Amino acid sequence: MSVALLDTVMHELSIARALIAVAERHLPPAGGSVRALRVAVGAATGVVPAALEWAFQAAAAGSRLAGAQLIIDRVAARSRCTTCRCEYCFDDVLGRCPVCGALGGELLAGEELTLRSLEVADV
Amino acid sequence: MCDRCGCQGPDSRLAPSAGSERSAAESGAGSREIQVEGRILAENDRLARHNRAHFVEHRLFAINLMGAPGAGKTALLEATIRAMAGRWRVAAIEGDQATQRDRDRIAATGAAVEQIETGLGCHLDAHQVHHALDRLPLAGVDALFIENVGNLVCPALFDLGEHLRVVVTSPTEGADKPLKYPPMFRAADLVVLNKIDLLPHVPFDLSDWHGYVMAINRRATILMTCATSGAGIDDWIAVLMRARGAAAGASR
Repeated sequence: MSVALLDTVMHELSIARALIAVAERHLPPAGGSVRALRVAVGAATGVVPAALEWAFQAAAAGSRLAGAQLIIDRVAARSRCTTCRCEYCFDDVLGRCPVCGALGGELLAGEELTLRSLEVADV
Repeated sequence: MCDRCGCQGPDSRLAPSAGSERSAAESGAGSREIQVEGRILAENDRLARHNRAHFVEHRLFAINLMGAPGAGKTALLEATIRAMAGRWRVAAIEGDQATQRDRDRIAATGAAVEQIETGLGCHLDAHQVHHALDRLPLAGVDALFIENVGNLVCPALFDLGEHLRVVVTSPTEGADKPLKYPPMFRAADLVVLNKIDLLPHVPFDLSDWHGYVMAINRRATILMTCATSGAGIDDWIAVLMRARGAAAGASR
């Protein structure tokens, strides 16, 4: 699939481009190649890790980040059940209370979309 | 914290660092780590703040109108502009993959309008809106509607600087849309069920739908409209006017 075609079907490419821009701002002006980027992706964002990885590799071509490994830390989402008030974690975009089975709830965490760190090779 | 989901257990697959494939020992040789901890969408957020400052400066109430293609966003906007005539001056930004058709529809109401053709893009971002704002005559405008690309997934992540996020949906989409697209409904301040004239003709359980919206987002205001007949438009406008008053109060 071409990068242009990919953009029609997912926003992960926009996120990958934004990630590359943030990473480039934090790179030393001169230095070795970038070995890896570590990012945190909250489950409730709906961002698909495999799609983000694919999009990153496609968008990084020709930049200082080309070939770098993208390490995605999936962050669990957390909700407060609006029926029984139980707090629980979940790993999809919706969540289901493990106690009473109610769907959804009040989202407490899981919307992270951050670049945590960069690993740069010594010159 | 409830202990039944196991997220705090020693070998939990839901622990915050789950999914990370490299141990500390694997990295480090011949390399160094630069800590960032920065939001990936920081640039979009910065431009959204810039847009927001622009809205405040122009005393302009900005509404991000989202929803699936065919929910009736443009029809609702046309009905709104006509119903607001003499009360609010409205401008609009129209987002579509292609064509100026929605721009032409809104221009026919007399409102100032700019079209963003996103081409291959699936959502509007703050940068595109920023440039559209430069082209729009905003003097004297009270409310700016930004009609996003018809899509229930991607626009949810991108702040445009708006004061109010509205999701428009319709009975033909099915009552369970809020459960199928939670980030979009979670992000909404206002959820509008449009095309309510279709309710007697399609299998759509209104009380289920209401429950699903509330399950995802209890703070959302729910409204029902029919843009073509005008049903519910007065309520919708009253809610917008109240929200504008609240936003103006907050920015003073």
